[in-house]
Amino acid sequence: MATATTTERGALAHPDVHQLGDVNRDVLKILGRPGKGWWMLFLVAAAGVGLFFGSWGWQLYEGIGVSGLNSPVGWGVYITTFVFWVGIAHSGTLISAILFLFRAPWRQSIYRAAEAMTVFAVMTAGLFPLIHVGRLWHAYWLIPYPNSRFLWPNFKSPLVWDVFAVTTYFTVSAVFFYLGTIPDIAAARDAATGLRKKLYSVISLGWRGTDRQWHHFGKAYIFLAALATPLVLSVHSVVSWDFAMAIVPGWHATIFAPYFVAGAIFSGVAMVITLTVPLRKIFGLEAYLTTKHFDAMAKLCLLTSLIVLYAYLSEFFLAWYSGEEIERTAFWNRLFGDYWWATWTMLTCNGLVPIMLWFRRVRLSIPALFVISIFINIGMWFERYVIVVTSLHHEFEPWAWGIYRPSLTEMGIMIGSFCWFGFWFLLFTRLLPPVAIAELKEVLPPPLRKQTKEARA
Amino acid sequence: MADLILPDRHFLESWGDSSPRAGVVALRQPAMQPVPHFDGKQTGDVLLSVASRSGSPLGAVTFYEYLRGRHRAAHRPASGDFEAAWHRMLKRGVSEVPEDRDAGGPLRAFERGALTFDAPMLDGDGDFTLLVHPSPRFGAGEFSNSPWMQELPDPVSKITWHSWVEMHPDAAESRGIREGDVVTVSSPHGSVDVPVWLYPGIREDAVALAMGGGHADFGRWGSDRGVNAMDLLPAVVEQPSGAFVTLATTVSVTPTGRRRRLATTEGSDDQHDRPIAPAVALAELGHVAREEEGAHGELQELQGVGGFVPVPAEGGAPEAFPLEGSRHGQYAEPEGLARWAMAVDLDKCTGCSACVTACQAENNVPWVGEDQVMMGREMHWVRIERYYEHVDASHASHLDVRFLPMICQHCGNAPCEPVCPVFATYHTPEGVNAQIYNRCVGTRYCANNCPYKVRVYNWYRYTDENVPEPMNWQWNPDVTVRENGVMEKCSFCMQRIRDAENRSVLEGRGKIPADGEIVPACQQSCPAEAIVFGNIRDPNSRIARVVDGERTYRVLDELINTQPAVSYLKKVTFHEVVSGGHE
Repeated sequence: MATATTTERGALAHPDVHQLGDVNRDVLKILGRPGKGWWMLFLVAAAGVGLFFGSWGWQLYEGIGVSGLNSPVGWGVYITTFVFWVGIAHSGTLISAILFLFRAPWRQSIYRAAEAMTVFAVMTAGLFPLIHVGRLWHAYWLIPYPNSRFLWPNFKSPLVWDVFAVTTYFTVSAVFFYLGTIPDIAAARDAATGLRKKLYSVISLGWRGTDRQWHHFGKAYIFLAALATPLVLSVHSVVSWDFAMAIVPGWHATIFAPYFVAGAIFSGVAMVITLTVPLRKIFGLEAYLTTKHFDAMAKLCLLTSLIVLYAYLSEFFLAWYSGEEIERTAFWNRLFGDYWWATWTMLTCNGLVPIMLWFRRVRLSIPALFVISIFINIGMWFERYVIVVTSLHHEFEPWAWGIYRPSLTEMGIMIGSFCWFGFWFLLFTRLLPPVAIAELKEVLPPPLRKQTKEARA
Repeated sequence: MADLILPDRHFLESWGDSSPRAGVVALRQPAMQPVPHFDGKQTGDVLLSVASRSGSPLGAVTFYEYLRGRHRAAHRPASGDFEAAWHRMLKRGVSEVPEDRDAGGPLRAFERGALTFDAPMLDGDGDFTLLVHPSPRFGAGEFSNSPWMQELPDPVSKITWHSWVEMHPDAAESRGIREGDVVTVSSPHGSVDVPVWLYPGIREDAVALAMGGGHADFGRWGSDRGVNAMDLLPAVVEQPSGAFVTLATTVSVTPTGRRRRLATTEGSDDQHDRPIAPAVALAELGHVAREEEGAHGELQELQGVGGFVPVPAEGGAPEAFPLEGSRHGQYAEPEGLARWAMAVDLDKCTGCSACVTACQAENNVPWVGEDQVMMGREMHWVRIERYYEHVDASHASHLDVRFLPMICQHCGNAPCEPVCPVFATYHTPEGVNAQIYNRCVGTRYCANNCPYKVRVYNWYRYTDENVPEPMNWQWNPDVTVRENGVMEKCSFCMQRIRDAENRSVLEGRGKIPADGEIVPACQQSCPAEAIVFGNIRDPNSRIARVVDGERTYRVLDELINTQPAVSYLKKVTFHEVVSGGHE
């Protein structure tokens, strides 16, 4: 079993990794027979997927009325969770594409998991607009397609932009994910037998690892990275415009696009920490996922947390500074109104708890980071809840003010969506190498490369 | 108690006549086959056969013959042949007859001083005087079995589907009672358990209970709802009128410890100083300076950088709006078309809510039931907002109650339109904000972005589940019945607009009907005639003249530039407007 010891900050020692082949051994071992822990998690996730589709089916059968939505709160947990998952999706592309372009070497061991997280998070997020519409069977009308009635979607509506943003993001991130995995699938193919070998043979697209293939691979990878990079910024900007383009006090703000992008990266990195900590533990990847990586992710969290906190404070400040009574009431209501608990949860989890990341000891402690990352996940879900619900429930017309209480069906779908995501992620850890074998080899410390040469000689 | 209950026929299935106003006789003939479920007979036929079987026939076998006989008897030879006149009347539906206005006269001569009334005698020694009053919705209870009436919010309490006892907030506070607490109201004659609703407009030493609740056996919608106020009253009859005495007892009020959520449609009773339902003092009327052009300088500054040109928020006939430069490509406004607009005089509006139910009947608006109302899902297209303003800040109970019938404002610059992803809501060339039900996907974005919150959503299949056969026969055939997952809202009674337009075109009068020819259901039912509808582009129309006054304003327009087609005329108060005046 490989174990990592940190001799000094950032430096890696791989006592059990003696040659490059050991990397294959340690990573491909994960694809072997699953342990008890994996099966337990998988069964929980599968049950949750049942809950997810069961609740959704119930809603389709009975009508959207089984949610707690009402007038004036027409969007609730569904849109909250949609934005949450789109946000989660962001750090995957950030880590794999932007950090690749900036040559940040610490991304190598986490980017595969982060990319998989992106693809599955978009798959989850993309279901929520379908869940929340009243007539699912007509949702395809949002897609521009030639039809005999000459009807097009309304390109002024941010919801139509959303359709483009989310589908584009899903396509690009899925292709990027798949492309980057090809050399590793080939490695798995070489180690596998039977049905798995056949499957890997097909999806590795005849990868042999020749110089020519590596050359093409490198070019394609960097092009896709460049293509995916603007999406990190654009997709969540578009999602933020669902709100910013409306006139609802609390939504109608120019700060929304950068605020949402920072929040997305914040929540996404936190989710990567939440996922990689157990991954590292269960599959014994301590040699490859070291405190150096977690330290880097924690710093990214800290930076984005500060941006998000700044956005919160500037929203409150500008509401006061505008002198506009309705805007002021909306933000006063946010802090001290019916949903004060959601706002204070958000401020605590996203603004106060990450302050601990200033301390190096906290950043180097994996249990502490895990707990903080859970807090951030909760806080970022509540951030969207606060934006969606508290803004809608106290709008312009006081007579129409109302209260929204999420129903059991909504909670079932929300919790089920985490299981749906976990279901795919767990399958991923069994079927594809969750750590990038080829890229890890590139960054192994020089002595190791030397040992490999010696071993060959 | 009745021994026999017989189904009657609907007016569409039966013969009849009426006199809607003096000098006009209207004749009614069946317009449809009788609904087969009931195998009913019209009342007239029943009476005729009862009379015949009991040995005193009335000279006709069917009510049709009886009706014809009566008209034949009333026929004057001067008008020509009866058969021809009868067919003429059937064709037209009405016939004008000279009316002898003085034929009636008082039934009995009234002698001044002949009536004496006793001062109310109050039983018991409770803390409160019990006021029992007929309900504006149920009368004394005879309309309680109508879901339309049950779902209609009470004009003042805004509570639906259940009873409540009205109490002054101070009286409640001193007894530790909060709104929604279920209390036992007991008199020497009985007691009821009922939730409290606090109302600063009632005396501190009185509680009030409306009639119409607590039916034991009154059909599907009326039974076992609320409490019967009569349980608390003694059986005392007033002389000489013979009427039941409703001011007859004191009651004590004790909390039961239980609470319930009131099925109210109220959000906030305070308009938070927003320009929603302002008022003007009588003394100031005539001295209110018309809003001058340029009063919205701040907004006009924006014009240079692509901002809006605001419509003057106060006064001024908006026949030209949306003004040049304020269009956002939502719609073009071709020449020769009307721009439909409405005005509501808040000084005439009593909050009676007749318009709410008239609209519900006309536009096939479903009722949703008590639970759904508590969730905030009532579907009325007209909502009468009721705000309190204090006449004198030092007396919390000196109330100025403001009513505001809120409907879709048919904004010239509508926030709902650009956000709909599929153009299910759009602007017609006649300035109406239209909703296409069968294009709606149900994202609810339009409702979120509507500052007036007038869009209502079909959360369930209310139209199927709440309206079982044969009640679905009541649907207006001119209006779509909406399915679940679809947004809807006031259409300005588009079916009536189209009907009048088509008639006008067919009769060669042009596309725009005569002023006053189109009457939306709310206007038609308003007893105070507070609602005016018409083409605001025609400077001689009634709407254009009504809107051109110093009391005119448009809700929230000065803040968010929605350019509504609905104008309101401020309420006039005798007292000085100390709050909620906005000017």
